[in-house]
Formats: sequence, C-alpha cells, structure tokens
Amino acid sequence: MTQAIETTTIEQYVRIAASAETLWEFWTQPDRLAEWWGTSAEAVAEPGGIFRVVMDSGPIMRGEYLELDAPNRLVFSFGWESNASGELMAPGTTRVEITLTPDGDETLLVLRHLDIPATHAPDHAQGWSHFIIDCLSPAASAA
Amino acid sequence: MNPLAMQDRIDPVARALADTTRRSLLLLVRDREVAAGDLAAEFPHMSRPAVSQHLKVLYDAGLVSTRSEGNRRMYHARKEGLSDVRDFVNDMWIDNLARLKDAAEGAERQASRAGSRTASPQSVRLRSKPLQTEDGRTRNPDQRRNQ
Repeated sequence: MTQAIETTTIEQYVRIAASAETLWEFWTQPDRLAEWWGTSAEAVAEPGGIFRVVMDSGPIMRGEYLELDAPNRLVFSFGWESNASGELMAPGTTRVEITLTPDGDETLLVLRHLDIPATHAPDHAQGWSHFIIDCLSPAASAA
Repeated sequence: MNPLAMQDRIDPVARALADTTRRSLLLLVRDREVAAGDLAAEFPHMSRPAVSQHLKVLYDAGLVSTRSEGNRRMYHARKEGLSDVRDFVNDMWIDNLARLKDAAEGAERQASRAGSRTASPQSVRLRSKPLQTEDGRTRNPDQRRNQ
C-alpha cells in the first residue's frame, strides 16, 4: 500500500573540533559508529550498501547509503527495522542528509532528516485527512 | 531520552496506524467529537466491543482523546499525536550528535598526539587534509596539539 503522507524535516547543526575526514569515518565505519550511535553497526559505505545500527537498548536503525561524496556529503535512508512496510518510519521511508563543511580547525555538521511523518497545526487539519485517506485500503473503503 | 523510552512512544503510534479500521475511526473523529456508539454504527460488520478495542488502541497511542458526556463516551482526534514521532527523532539526534562530537573530538586529539610515528596508511590519508587550511597555510601536528 502506498502512503503519501504529510511530512516534516528535522534540522540540527553542530560544530565539531575535528576534520571532515575524521567525521566521515564516524558515519561510515562500523567500529566508529559504535562509538557514538549504538552498540554495534553494519556499514557498507557505497551506494546501495547496508547501514544498520543497533541502538543502546532496543531500536534498530535500518537504512542504506544512497549518496556518498567523501568527506563532505552523505545521504542515507533511515527506518526502524521493527516497523513493517506501511507502518510509520518503516525502513526506506525517511532520508538523512549530512553535510560536513570545514571551518578553520572545526567542521560544521548539518543534519537534515527528511520525510518525518507529521501533522500540521490544528487549523491545517488537511494533514490528517491526507495522511489517513492515503492509508486506506479498498477493504476499509468498502466498510 | 534513552532509546528504549523513545521506542515505547513510537511503537504504539505505528501499530495504531497500521490497521485500516483504526485509520477510518481516526478520520471520523478528525474534525469533531463523536460518541462511541455512533462510531460503532459506522462498522456494522463489527461487534461493538471490537470497535471499542480499536478505540482503546488509538487512545493508548495518544491519537485520540476521550471524555464522558452523560452515559456516552466521546472521542476526538488529538492532532498532536503524530508530533511525538518528530520529537522522538529530534531527541535522538540531539543526544547522538552530542556523543558524536565527543567521540570525534577525542579521536582527533588522539590522531594529533600520535603524530607520524604510528601512522597507518589509513591515518596518513586522513591526516593529510586537516593540516592544510583553506588559506593554504600548512600547520604541523604540534601546533594542533597545543590549541
């Protein structure tokens, strides 16, 4: 079942006293990923390569690398492995873009997480109906 | 927030919306309050307890609110229900980017201290660039260490 849903984007910025090359390792190497994101990781850093992170006490992020422009730009798909197709944030349903821009001795990291399911403010109830109607299967419509 | 707590918030929403009957119910209470009995009447092929069970799942996921009016139970969509998903992911990134910053800065300091004596082919490649600043100045590892 296809879902066209209302979505939102999360943006985070962080300035890190490390080179873009060092940060690139932390997004693409399993042992480096396990130092900050989870307890273990699988990472095949090539387009279409698996990207899987077991977070500390439960959730498993499952995605794949989509675009790699070392050491400045990385795009990967992001989903929760436990969520079946059709559920919120199932694998393949959201995307994360990382840009690493050198700035003196530091690197500015910009993270954009796109396609997060969301609703509009109550006066834009459109979002709800859009989300729900697009999820309806023929069986439900016949009810 | 710890990941387990975050997962506890997300799973009920995902499960609640995975069912077509529940999505239909949500649509019915999107713009107005509707009594449980009137909602059940929209699903003549289902027993009333079955519809009540679906409403309970939506309630537990924070997607509808409910109140009593006389002897009727009224339901209304909570528009902020799905914002939990966004907050959950946002909190995850805030926590994890702070950890990334600590880990990467630690690795960078270690790389500076190691200098060239223990350089593996990998770390030579990685160190070659940071030493060159945008204005073309070349900096030696000792300078980096002292900053």
